[in-house]
Amino acid sequence: MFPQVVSEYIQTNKVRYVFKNFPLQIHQWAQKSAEAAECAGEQGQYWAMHDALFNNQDQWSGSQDAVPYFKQLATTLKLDQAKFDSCLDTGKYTAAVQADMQAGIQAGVTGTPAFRVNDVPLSGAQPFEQFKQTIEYAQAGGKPPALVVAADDFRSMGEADAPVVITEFSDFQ
Amino acid sequence: MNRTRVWSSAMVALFIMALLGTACGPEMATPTPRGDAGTPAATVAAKTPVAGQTPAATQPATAPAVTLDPGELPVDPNDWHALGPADAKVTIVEYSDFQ
Repeated sequence: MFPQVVSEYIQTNKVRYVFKNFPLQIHQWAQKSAEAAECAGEQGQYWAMHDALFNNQDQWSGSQDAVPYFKQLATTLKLDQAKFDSCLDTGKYTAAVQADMQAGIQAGVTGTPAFRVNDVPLSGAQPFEQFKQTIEYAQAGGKPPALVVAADDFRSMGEADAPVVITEFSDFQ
Repeated sequence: MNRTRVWSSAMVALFIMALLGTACGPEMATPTPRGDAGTPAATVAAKTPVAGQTPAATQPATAPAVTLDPGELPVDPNDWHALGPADAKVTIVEYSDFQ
């Protein structure tokens, strides 16, 4: 999740954020890493493992066998090692992770990351402004956000440096 | 002259030590929320973009990750995948993998 969304909306309890597993087949360790996060979750450390996996991705992503590294992360996070290892080795959450993915496919997700802000889809790593606008749209009950009149030109609305500008030539009759 | 050479050698040694210190830093980073915008997006298969959506694989890297204290995250005690109040007016669902 975009750090600014986390700090401005999630940490302030204005928005609920839910992470759903969508392990792509082209990512060799996506399924098992998702299971590692679940196994940490049952010990109350889901988000710590979530962050550790992302922050140390280069340590395991290209590995021949990433499972030992996931177990090492569990050690670092001071999890019950035997419980974590058993959880991961037995595939306790394999089906749950796959169920998440199927739900995503049903929701129209085709790639990662994909977001749903209430019912509004956002695909890819969107800039913060896109999240902000969509969140405010949802907070307003689905109504379009208020138009912003430019301070230096009362004929203009929106950002002065917007990549797209619509100019209308018209009269009032 | 000699003093200058000694000073230069010391600076070179300090620079090398600084480089070695960086290379031998801890493997584990402090757990932090990631900046998605810094991660290239991936797709299941090439498909025609849906109206209103931006193709995932073409998004630029625009934001650095920031360090936040995981202890500050409002984890829902009833669902470890969720942060924030269950009755929030807005819910963001992210579908992603860790790789």
